[in-house]
Amino acid sequence: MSPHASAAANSASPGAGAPGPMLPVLRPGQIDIMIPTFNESSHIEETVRNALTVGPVYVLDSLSTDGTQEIARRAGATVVEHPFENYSRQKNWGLDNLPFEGEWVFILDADERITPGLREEVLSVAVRGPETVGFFVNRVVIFMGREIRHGGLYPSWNLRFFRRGRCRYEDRAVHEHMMAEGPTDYLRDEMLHIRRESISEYIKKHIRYADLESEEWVKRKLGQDAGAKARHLFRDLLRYRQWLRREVWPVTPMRPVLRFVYMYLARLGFLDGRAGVHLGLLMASYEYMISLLYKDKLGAIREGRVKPPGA
Amino acid sequence: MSEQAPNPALSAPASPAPASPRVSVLVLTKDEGANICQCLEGLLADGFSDDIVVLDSYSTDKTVELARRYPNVRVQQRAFDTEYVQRNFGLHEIEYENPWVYICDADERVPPELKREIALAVTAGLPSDGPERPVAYRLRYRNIFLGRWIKRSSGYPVWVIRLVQPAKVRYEVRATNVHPIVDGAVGSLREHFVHYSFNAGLRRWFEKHNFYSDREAYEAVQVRKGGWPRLASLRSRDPIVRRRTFKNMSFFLRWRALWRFLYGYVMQRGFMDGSAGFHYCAMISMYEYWIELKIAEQERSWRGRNEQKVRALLGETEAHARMSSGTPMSAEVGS
Repeated sequence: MSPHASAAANSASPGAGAPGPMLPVLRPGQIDIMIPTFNESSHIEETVRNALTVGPVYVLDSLSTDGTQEIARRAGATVVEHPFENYSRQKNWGLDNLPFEGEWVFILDADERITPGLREEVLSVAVRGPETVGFFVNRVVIFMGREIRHGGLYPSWNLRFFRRGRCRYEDRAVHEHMMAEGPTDYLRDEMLHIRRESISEYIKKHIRYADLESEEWVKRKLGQDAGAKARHLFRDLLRYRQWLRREVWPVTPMRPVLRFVYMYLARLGFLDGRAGVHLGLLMASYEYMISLLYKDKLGAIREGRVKPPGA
Repeated sequence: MSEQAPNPALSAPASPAPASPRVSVLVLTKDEGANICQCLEGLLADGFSDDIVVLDSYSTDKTVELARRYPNVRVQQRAFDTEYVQRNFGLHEIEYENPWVYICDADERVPPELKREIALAVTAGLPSDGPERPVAYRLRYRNIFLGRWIKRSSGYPVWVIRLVQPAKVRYEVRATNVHPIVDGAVGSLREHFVHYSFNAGLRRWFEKHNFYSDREAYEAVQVRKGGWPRLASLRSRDPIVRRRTFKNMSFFLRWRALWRFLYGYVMQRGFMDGSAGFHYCAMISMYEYWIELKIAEQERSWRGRNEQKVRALLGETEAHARMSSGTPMSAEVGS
């Protein structure tokens, strides 16, 4: 119960005009770990134990229904529940309201683990206390019993380790980005990203994403997404990739084949052995499902079998 | 088990006496909200049927609610146990207004020509295999995908028994396939019904085939444990045993997805069905790939190996955790 109480107390304090939001205690060199969760009962015990080797662990749970909270508490974490809105808001809420005491924060997902090397590295950085306010951490996928080091899935850098209060997520619904108030750097060691789901669950997830993605394509095709005009996107160079992804990629022929060639040959996926082949083929079938769903939905709308979205 | 629809008004024929001979229709449903309205409207049109029974396996969508809006449509719900029991229940435990019942799926349509032929069949009777008048009729269907009849890649023609006198037909299971057993002569219809296998949206197709490939892979792993099937069974008299053996042999094949594609697209001449034929073959071969992948997942125990790998990479962390568990972290680094 106490975590709820303290979280509530903290969330009430800002707005009173206090200069630093709420820093009742600051333990120099300490790292607090925040783990955002939703229904992670298959992972959370191991994740918490793993994270406890670095510092105190706070599980920020989006009202799980599978008992994640209880498992996490038993494993030694402080659990605070907060209803989910989107990834960036949820994590920012945690950064503002969890009763952190350390000078540093590490954000770890439930399916990630901190390797021994990374643990040594973050602990020594925290003690040394450099000017740097945030560090990017590299991540390697573990799939089919292998470390996946190619196929475009590696390296994967994310700003996860930072001075408390100096980094926040940009407020956007998806593809959230961390913003740092000061210099950033890269850590040498990496964390693990464990793909524990079965192939069946993996495909189920792909079907769901492909359905959502094709829905977006249909909307764009029917001209309902006025915000995505190329002229608009070219205003800054950062959006160039977005333009490629949104406007060019969907109308590229043979996308499934291209995706496979890109992952397996161009990005050397073949060096990951069998796992590389299958990751490439699974992504190709994901691309293929998007195309088919798109074609089918558009056809159904044009034949009048289905109403267009928003009509 | 079953439960009568709480709307008795619909169970009595509301329309005036039929001008032309009519048939009753049995529609088996489960979550067919996307299809059911068009299906029922088609069956009620042209005075084809005045008595439709929707036997629903407790849909979780609006199927039942939608079906109850139509006149001359009765809805019954029954928990689905197995396909053949459900089908037998539909034929034998439900009273029909007409001596003939046409069996239909929600994603099928009956074109006017077929309606006329059925009307003829149930009154005058059409020729059958033997000397007696038929008690059931078989017919063919057209598979439509992406707006086109995919004739070659869907293995046309496939004959199915759909127009029956309910008391003369019952379903049996033989080697996982459900077969209708007819007590009497069977006739053939010339016209086709139309099957929109993808009408509920492709997402549904992908989800179903993700599920089917789980089952296929499970079965394949069992078969592969038993070793290569006896080749003699290929010459068995029973076509079902032959098919079964052939299928079991296919579980030992590598590159299933590729072979399946070549079979459908080249040997069955799917390329003649245009781009719809290509996509149909490619989808089936993607499904075969999923099966192959799931077989490998089990036989090579990927998940177990994943855990081993993670333990190996983290081993020291856990050991260190035990070593340093006596000292609070903050005291250790804060001094």
